[in-house]
Amino acid sequence: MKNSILLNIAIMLGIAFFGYAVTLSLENQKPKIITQPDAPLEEIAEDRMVPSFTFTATDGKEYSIRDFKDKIIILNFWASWCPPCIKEFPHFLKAAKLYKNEIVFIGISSDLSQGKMTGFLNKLKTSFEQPNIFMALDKDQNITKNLFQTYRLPETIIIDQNQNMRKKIIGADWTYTNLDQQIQTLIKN
Amino acid sequence: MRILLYVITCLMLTIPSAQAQEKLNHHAFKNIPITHNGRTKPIDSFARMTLKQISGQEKLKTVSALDWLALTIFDPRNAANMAVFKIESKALQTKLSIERNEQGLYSFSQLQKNLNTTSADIETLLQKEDSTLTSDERTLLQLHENAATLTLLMRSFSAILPLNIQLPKKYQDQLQDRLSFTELARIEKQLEEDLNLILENKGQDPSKYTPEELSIAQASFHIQALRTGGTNNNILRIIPTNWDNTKDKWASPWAVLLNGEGSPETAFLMSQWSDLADAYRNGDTQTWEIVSKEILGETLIQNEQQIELRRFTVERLYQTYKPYNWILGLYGFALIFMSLPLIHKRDLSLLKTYAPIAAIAGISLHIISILARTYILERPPVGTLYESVLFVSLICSVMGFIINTQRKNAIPMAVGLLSALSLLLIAPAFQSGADNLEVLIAVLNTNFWLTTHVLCITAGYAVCILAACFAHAALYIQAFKNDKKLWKKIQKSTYHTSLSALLLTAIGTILGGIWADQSWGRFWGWDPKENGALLVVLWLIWLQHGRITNHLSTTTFLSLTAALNIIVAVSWFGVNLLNTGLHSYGFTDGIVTGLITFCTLQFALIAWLHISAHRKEQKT
Repeated sequence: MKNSILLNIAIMLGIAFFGYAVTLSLENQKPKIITQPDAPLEEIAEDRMVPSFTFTATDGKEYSIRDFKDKIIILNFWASWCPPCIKEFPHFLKAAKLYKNEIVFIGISSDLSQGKMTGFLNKLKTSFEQPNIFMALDKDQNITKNLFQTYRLPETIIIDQNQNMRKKIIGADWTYTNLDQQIQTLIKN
Repeated sequence: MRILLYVITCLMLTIPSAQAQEKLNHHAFKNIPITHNGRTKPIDSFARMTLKQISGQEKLKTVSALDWLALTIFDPRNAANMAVFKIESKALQTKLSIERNEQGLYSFSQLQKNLNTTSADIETLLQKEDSTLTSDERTLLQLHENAATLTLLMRSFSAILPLNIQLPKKYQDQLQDRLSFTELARIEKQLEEDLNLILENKGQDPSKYTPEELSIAQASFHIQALRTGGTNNNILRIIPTNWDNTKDKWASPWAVLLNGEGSPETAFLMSQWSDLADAYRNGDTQTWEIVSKEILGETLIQNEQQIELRRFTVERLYQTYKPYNWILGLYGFALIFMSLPLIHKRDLSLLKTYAPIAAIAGISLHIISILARTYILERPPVGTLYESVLFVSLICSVMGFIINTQRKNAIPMAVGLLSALSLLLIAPAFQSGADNLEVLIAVLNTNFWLTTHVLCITAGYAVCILAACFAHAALYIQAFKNDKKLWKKIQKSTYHTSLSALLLTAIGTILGGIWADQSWGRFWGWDPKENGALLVVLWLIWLQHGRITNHLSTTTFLSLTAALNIIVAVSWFGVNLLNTGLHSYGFTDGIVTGLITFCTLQFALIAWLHISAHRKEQKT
């Protein structure tokens, strides 16, 4: 009888210890969430350096992404035939004007020709003639598809002052406030 | 997923066949991580599980699961001719007008036409209640589901596999020689505009087109067809994505392209996969080995959550060696070694000495297997009904062994091993699908009280089963053997184990209440599973009181303890059939017949043993 009691106590202790050990080992693991609605813009990914590439802007000069170190870069993939791209343009331009010294906006176009892109830009009433706004045609899609694997427009990557890619905005379904929050977070950092 | 998705005409036409394959080295390839069914696992496990789901086996005659997967994803044209679909039902074979072959395996090409003819039936079947489906209807649905799975796999890399398309000259200079969807997509807009012009000028009749216009139309059609085929193709989630911390971190190649998950890192990894596909298709074993190593390394670097390859190794060993088959064998051997001396009058004491060795080996392997499952799944070993059966069977064998060493009697060990063996034999019935390392809802992963409660309750069930089996043995000895000393020993063991069972089930139930209070805000909610656990506790309390107050004779006490098997089966599995309540992780279909048969047979056996023992008692 005494042995049975000891055995029972041992089993109970064993189970409690095992449960405790398993719980401890799982404590630091966040539950794996499979799907969630799109995260707000202020949530930023880990540091990842943007790969180096060059582009020829509408002013005819060639620029490298590395020329804009110490600036927040808004790298936008767009095309004149893409209505959502046109929808989100005003937000970017507003930010570029408001944060003249902190932000650089680079619009990489998937238009078929330089003429189509500039023709479209000229038609817009908003001015793109600002020193921190750069528009470039990616005719061969080397930057858009080969380097950044962007197959659906628009997509925007926000790059911090250290050239780390911090956030991707997919589509045009977002508000200026979200973008502004993200920029301010990066400026503060 | 029960939607027919097997229209792969475009894929078959545009992706050429690959060369015949030499033996490939899967050393690195087998460890490439993939997220499937909510868990990141080695691609080897995924291949085995998927092949088992489709063909009912983890290996085809001479083709390993990994070889089959590589063929399916990199060479879909030849994969379509490989016999993988298991169809055993004669009715279904007739319905699909296929000739019966020895293996009962059929290829996608063989089935494709006939599956199309049954599509209408599928629409009707999907409207029906699951419980009203006949066995043949279920098989047909399963076949369509398997065909859809295979189609998804065959299309999973169609974005990067080379295409057999002749492009008009004007585009050729813009693109690389190796044409794939990703390459063609660079001129997609251009093709679209040119096609619109053609349609505007010449209409929709291709016979009016020039050869160049025809090739523009074809190229445009292929891009669209490939894109449509790739939409929602999420089966092969092998690319880590790092844009959003709150989202799933893995995407399939098509999801990367079409859902905006692309990044410079995914572009690099996809180009490596493209190289691997080329190495496979060209039969270049050396490049295959090098590139698969590079992919493994790159995937591990890109995935921010650290993946332990050790965990993958353990999983692969577990899946390869199937420890439960070995455990079954060892327990079986131990039981045979123990029972042989009883059957044969000759001295077989040598055999008797092997019994504990086989039992110890079996128990050790059983413990290792459960620890391996805990390590692989990173959670307690009792998350699903299947796992609880494995755990309960371990407790049975361990307890039997401990009592055997305490009492210096072989019967408890025999009883423990027998119950463990029976549980292991029925365990596969509780496995859901082909995946034996299933993931469960997050809530069951985290809480100390819950872990302890489930472990305690299942350990309690195990001891209940042991007590019931001891009671069976005691009744048998009482009725048919004249060994009073042995009967007393077993009867004592029955009493002590039933006390242990009461302690474990009572504490387990209370712990469940504590957890429910923390989690659901109430200690007790009359949930079917809670009621089931309470039933076991009340039954045991009644037995103990009856025995102490002498209201129950020893024979009745033993018979009622033997009936614990029925009570435990009802509260463990039976309540799941109700499909209500909060313990939804345990809901299982298709065990009703088994459960009713078990309870009836148990009842009949106990009644027979009770009457026989009672008669013997009266005689003496």
